[in-house]
Amino acid sequence: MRPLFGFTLGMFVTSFAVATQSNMLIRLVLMVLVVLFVIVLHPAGFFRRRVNAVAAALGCILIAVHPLANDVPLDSLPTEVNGDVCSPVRTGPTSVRFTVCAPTGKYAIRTKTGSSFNYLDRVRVVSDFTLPEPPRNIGEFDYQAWCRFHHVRALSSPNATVELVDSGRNDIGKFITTVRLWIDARCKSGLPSETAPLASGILLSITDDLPFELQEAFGRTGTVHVLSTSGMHISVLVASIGTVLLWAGRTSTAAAGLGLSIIIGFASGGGPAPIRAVTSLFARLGARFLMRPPEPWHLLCLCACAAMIRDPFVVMDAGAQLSFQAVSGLIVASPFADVISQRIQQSPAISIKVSLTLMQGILVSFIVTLITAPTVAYHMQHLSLISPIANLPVGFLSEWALLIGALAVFLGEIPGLGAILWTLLHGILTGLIFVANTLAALPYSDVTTGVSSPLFVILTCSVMTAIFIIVGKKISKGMAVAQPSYFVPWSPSKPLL
Amino acid sequence: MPTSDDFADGTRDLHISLIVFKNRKFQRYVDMFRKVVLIFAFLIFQGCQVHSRGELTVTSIDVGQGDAVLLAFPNGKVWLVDAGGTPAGDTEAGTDQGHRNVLPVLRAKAIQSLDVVVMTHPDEDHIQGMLAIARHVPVGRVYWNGFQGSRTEQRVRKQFQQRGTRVELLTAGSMTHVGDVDVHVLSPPAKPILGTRSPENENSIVLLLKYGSKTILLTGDVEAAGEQRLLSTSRHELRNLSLLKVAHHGSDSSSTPEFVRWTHPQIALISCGKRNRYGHPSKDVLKRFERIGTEVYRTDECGMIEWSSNGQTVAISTMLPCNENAPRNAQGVLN
Repeated sequence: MRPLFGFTLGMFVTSFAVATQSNMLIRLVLMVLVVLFVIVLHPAGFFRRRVNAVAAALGCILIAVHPLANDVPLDSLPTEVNGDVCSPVRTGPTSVRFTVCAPTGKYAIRTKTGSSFNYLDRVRVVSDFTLPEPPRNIGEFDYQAWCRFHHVRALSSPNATVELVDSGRNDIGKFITTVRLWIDARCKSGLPSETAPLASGILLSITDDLPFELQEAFGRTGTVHVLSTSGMHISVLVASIGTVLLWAGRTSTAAAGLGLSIIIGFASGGGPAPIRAVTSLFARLGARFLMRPPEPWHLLCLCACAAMIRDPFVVMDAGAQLSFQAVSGLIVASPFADVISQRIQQSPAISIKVSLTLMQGILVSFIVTLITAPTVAYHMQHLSLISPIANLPVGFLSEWALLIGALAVFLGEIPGLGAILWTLLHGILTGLIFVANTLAALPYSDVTTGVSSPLFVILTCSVMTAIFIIVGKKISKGMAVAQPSYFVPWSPSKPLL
Repeated sequence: MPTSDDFADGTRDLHISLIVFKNRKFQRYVDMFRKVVLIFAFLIFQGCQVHSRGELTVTSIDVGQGDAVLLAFPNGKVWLVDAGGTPAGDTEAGTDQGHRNVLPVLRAKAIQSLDVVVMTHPDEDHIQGMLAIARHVPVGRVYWNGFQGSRTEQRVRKQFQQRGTRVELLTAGSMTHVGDVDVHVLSPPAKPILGTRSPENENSIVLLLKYGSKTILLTGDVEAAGEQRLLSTSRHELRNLSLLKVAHHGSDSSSTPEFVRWTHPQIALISCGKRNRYGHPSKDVLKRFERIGTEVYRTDECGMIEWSSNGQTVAISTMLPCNENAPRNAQGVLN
């Protein structure tokens, strides 16, 4: 499996060169350097070095010939675009927003409310397209860079004319849109207005109706990740499916789990985090079938390759960087958590077990926060100091909210049971809002950072990861390191996976 | 019930991290820890912007049609003069200028708290963004001009007071030293100017900052009568300014020919929105500055503008490329 590292490194370096719009000469030099690096510095024997070098070269070539990597900018902005709706359709109070993928690239469309479109509909858009403006103050969100990294060529005017050309062949898109809207509507009908938007946010990352203040509270406590579809969703839901289908055998459980995770990935917009989670699940289930224990770093490499093959520019995406760093944090925290797990098993008293379990959660949360801190400080320009503590109650409550929410959405119509599930969900979400607001209101819950150097981010992340790996290896000497999990105490996925 | 032995076990377990270090390799870990601290100290020094480097920095934040000026003093104190706002801005939805523009700038400059906030006058385009500031940034003291205006102004003051921030009246004649910088308050007068088109504007708080050989005038929205009063009461101090924050977004109701000629600023900052419906800045005002050779920087063209000085030399940088007539060495693009 070692050539996978070379392959991933080759892909990563070429993706970086592509995303930073380096010219062809720089790209070639970087690619050669990667191959030389693997040949010269790889500690393994000559044969392995050669295999790794070939893998690295293949990784470089794969990205170099990627269609998105060789995108040519438009000479002029169009006034009419024909293409497919290629993002979830977000309906706000005054406008409908979605992305159209056309042969000339992607276009961000905004049109009046009332129009009804589905994912993958073929549409014709007539508008005065414009380019996004650069940020006008330091620290402002750079929409221009965001569009460049997401291949969005231009933005439509606020009231673009959009005509539906063809929707007959679009059954998958309609299904996905219907699922999203149905879940959103079920949450709104089953829950009061204070908690319904949070339920939609946790279940499907729909944050359009979520109050800005609450979003900020999650941001200040470093727990905003619960509002984006990620490994937490996949693991909790797949664990639930696994429990329900326990009688059906391993094949059916795995197939159902994979199917569900793919639907969740699509329905939430197919971002880097769902791709990572689905690829990881795919590989882990595959490894289980082959009776081979999956190696966490290999899984992460595989997920990175999948994300980069889908889009090489993903290396510059803040969400993707944080998603992969968080999982790296979980992997490097595993030895520490395992040492504590061992003590938990050995401890006779319940009170000790509870204390150690909480300590384990806080320790893992602290390591993950520390490893992602430089990236958060750079992209968000503020850093949550309360995050290691906040992630425990918020993670715990949001995982249960996810499980109870999924059950409530599907079983909420059953008399008696439905009422219990919705009431339970409302209680959990109210608790979640209370915890987020209370912790966010604490003095110095987050601090501004002013970090402006990408080099600082790369160096600190690398140094910290290396330190934790070395110390972790020393601490867990002789122990079999477990698969990284979320280490949220009493998580619904814990006893099942 | 757990016994005392269980408790002893638990105490041992809870200090598991210490147990790890209670071996003969303890010294190695301490050495490693020292190296890590050194590396991090170096990296943090490299990575973080230091917003005060013995310089006085005046940053005109681009808040569209409004005013927001951030003053970073050489001794590390930070003042915010106005915070922009839009008449139709919805603070709850996070679409106001305070959330969108002022807070990101504070975060990017690693400013955790503000020592002083000045509300020059109660117009929405100057103070609505304060609601976000009051909610998110600890503030030492707030100064206002005593003119009760809109409901927003009352909300802002109430919000600051609820957070335990003292809100005080500021009148002409006050003076304070912030490190090596002298801050003089030139307006509002103790006896307000009344009977004009806009008394709130005329009685704006006007600050004059003196640092070394440099003089900076922040004018709020004072109009012709206010400027006339300034010339009569502080004529000598206003001669040959290094930097003028042009009053009322460059409106022709301010910046009278006499005021512009007398103050003769080297650099003029105009904070106004792109394609604003008021037609700011006025062409006449721009011509007045052009005639005396003043370099004009506008937020609608340049985005955020940052002027800084060590008391002798001046550097100016803009977020967007603009003002091609400016000397090349005096203009840099941020980021």
